[in-house]
Amino acid sequence: MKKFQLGEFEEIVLLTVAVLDQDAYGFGIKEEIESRQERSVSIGALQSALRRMEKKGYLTSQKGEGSTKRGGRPKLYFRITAHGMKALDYNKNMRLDLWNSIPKSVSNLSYD
Amino acid sequence: MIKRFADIFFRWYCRKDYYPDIRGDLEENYLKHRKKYSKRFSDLLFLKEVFMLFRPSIIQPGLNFLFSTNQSAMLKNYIKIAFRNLQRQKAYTAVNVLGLSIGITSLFFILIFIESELSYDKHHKDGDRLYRVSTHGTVNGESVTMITSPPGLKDRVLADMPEIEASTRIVSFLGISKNIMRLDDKTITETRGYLADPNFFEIFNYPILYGSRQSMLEQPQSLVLSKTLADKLFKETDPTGTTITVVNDYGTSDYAVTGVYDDRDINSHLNPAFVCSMNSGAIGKYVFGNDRLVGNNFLFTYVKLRPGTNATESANKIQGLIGNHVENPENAHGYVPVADIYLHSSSPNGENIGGDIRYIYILITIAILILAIACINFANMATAQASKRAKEIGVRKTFGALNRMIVMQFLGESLAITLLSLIVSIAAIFLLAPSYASFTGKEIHALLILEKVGFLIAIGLLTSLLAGSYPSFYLSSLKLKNILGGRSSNSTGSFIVRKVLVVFQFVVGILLIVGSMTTAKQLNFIQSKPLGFNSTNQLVIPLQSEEVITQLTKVKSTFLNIPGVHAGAGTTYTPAQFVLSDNLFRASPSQPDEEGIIIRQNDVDFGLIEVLGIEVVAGRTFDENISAEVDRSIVVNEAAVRALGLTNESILNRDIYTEERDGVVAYNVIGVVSDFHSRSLHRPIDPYLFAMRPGNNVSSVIVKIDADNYQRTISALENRWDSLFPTLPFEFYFLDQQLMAQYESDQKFGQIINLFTTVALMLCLIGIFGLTSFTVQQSLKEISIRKVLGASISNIYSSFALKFLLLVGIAALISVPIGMIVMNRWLELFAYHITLGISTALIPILIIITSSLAVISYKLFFAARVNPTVILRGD
Repeated sequence: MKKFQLGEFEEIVLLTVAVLDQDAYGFGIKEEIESRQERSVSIGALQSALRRMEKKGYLTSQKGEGSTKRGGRPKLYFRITAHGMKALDYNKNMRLDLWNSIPKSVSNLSYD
Repeated sequence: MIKRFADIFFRWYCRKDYYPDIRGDLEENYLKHRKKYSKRFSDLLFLKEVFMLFRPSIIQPGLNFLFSTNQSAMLKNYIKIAFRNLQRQKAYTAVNVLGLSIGITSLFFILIFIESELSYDKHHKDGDRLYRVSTHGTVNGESVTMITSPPGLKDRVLADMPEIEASTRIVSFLGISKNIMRLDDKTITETRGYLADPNFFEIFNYPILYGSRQSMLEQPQSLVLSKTLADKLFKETDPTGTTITVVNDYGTSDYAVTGVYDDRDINSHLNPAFVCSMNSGAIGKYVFGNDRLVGNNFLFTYVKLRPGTNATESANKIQGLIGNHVENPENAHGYVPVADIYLHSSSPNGENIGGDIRYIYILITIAILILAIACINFANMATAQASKRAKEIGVRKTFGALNRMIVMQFLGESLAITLLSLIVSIAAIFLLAPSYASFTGKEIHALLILEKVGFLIAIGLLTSLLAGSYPSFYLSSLKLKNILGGRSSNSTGSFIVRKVLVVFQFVVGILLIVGSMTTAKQLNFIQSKPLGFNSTNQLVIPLQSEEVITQLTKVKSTFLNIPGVHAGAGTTYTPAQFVLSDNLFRASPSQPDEEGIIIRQNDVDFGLIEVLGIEVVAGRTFDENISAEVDRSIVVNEAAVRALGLTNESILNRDIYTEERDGVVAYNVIGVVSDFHSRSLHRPIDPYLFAMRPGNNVSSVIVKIDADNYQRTISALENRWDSLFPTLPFEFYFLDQQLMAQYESDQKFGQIINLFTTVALMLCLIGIFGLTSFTVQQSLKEISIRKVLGASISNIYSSFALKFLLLVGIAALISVPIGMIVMNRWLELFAYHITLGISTALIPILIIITSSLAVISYKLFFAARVNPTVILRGD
């Protein structure tokens, strides 16, 4: 089903939004991904992924409060939609399916 | 700065509804970085994030065309065509890139230099309320402004003037060229040492690394080191509590180090290497016991005014205030803002430390002119290419390109060339950075250059806009029917514009040549002007400490034993030093003070006048065999004789009078010497006298040595010195070199003008080359027809050359008078200077004519030899 297809980065963003639940806003998501994955995320990449997935209907957004830390600018909170959950689920199952199909001889490979 | 620029850019391209929250994210991210990194680096990271946000899903719909396939295909075509053009015309590209890189590189260095010059004394807390008190008085009938003030002034104004919040005084170790700092067995010489009141560091708030800002100058004999000096003496350790011995003309004394301040990255007119407590004996003790409000102008008083005070009104009150305590307050006082001192006046030691606002203005003008020439070249060359590009433009227009699109295309091309030039410039800047540092004494490290990348890009954008706008509008305005109809499109309008531009270049070229010629001539004049004394092969050996001075006779006789050393004598001031001590003299004791004249007084040793070879016009010089000589006998110069209203004959064996601590004292004039230049040629010759004092306190010995084998003589002198004074380093300099050092800033000015004249001239010639190519290109048919009708090569050549000569003529009419006026004003800075003659006007014009004719001939030669059939066959 092509309509549920997610890029690797998109999947991670979507998962992180799901994990953060009520707390998912731009900078928070970036910090979460960076601390969990030890990779650096540019605001540009993150924001464009968020907006793209919002358009696809995986995410909804809602304006939140501002804070002095942000120079008084409002946060924009993202929540995952049922559709988004379904896309994650689809992706997970697809991978699981692949995992389960790996023959024993391959999965037992060792380093020597 | 970078952050603000990035934010403006971001706001411009970002979708309006996305802006607030993404901006918030950026801010949070920035604050996170700020905790870890410097401001500069965080700013750069912010800029990076902004660049990374430039994506189709974030930018506002209006900019989407940048990513749309239809438009980007066109964009690709533009880029392709641009690169093809650059490649096809390698010479054209190279010349343009060369011209622009020279322009940008020059501009960069000039602006970096100006930035650092303007940064002096801008770091003090409440710096806008800090002033130095100056003293206005009359000397020999001329009004003079001194940058110093009397010792009692500080307490008086603090007590009587509520608008003064704080005040501090400093004294430089007067007339001392060197202080020897000794720690254990380590010795360092330093020139910039000061004695200061305890609150010095509260007013001049250098960052304090060790010690307490309030109290470190309170104790007698305490000394605060600059970080630079502390590092030399102590490496990285905390030096407080250590004892340092300072040796100078005032003697040898021990100081306790009580603190260290950070002088790195701070530019100040004071620029102290170390600061001692005023309460440290010698001259400091003299200040302490001295509350005079008039005269004794030897120290620097700084005041900090309360906010909102009118400085001029406050300064004008001082004289009146002093009048309440002293009968005759002869001098008025004024305030000079501390921030202005470096560029607008001279330094505490009397010498100019190089900052001069006039040079800054000149440099800014030169920078603008050079960039203008580079841009004009570019514009001329681009329009010169018009005939080659006309068909392309025609085809584009036929397929529906709008003027606007063609403008964008050509602006884009100029941007491409500018970017290439920027890369070349950055490489050139890295290469030239060491030369810049050694020339100006101002380090620039790689990081600084990188920090200025944004600035360079700004210069680049400005350049491409300035240079590219005229050609792109010109090219886009070409009429379709003219282009494709095969007619040349030579509107008179654009022709005039180009001529004006070329005349402008000639004007700049001539101006700069006039400037560099005048400075070279004047500097040459200074070097060769007879000074009235012999300055070659004279070695000046500073005596450094009291220990040496008391053994002067022994030192001299030891030196004179060396073969190659002819004569030697002690002096307080060498002819290259400003004579600080002066006294008011009168021809008769009953004359009132107003009729007295100020005479500069140099205490010397027997034989000095002979060593220097100053001509004696009347009477005699000091004689070692006459014991009465040692007291109250003087030799004056002719300027002093004239100022006293006497003649060389009538002054001989006559007494002149001055007031000293114990009343009026008479000095007997035993001789008159001719006027010699005891000061730099910037200044007229002052009344001057040589005196003999008991217990000579001369500060250096001048010895005359043989020019042959002088190195051997110097090492012999050094050996003798080392055996006499093993703890003091031997120091010497040549008198003529020391004299030339007085003109260091003039020489720098000359070098700068020379350098940029060369740069500008090169750019001008590149420009003329461009214009000749254009004209010749346009006139190939004309040339061909002339040839067919029988014109000779020389006929054709002269008809073209005359057009250029006309332009040079117009340029000369404009530039020569301006150049003369400007350079005359510069020459007025010297009391002795050359007068500008007709050659100053003619030589630059000749240089311009010959060099431009050379360039023109190169192009014309090939054009005139062309076979008419090749050109005319097409029609």
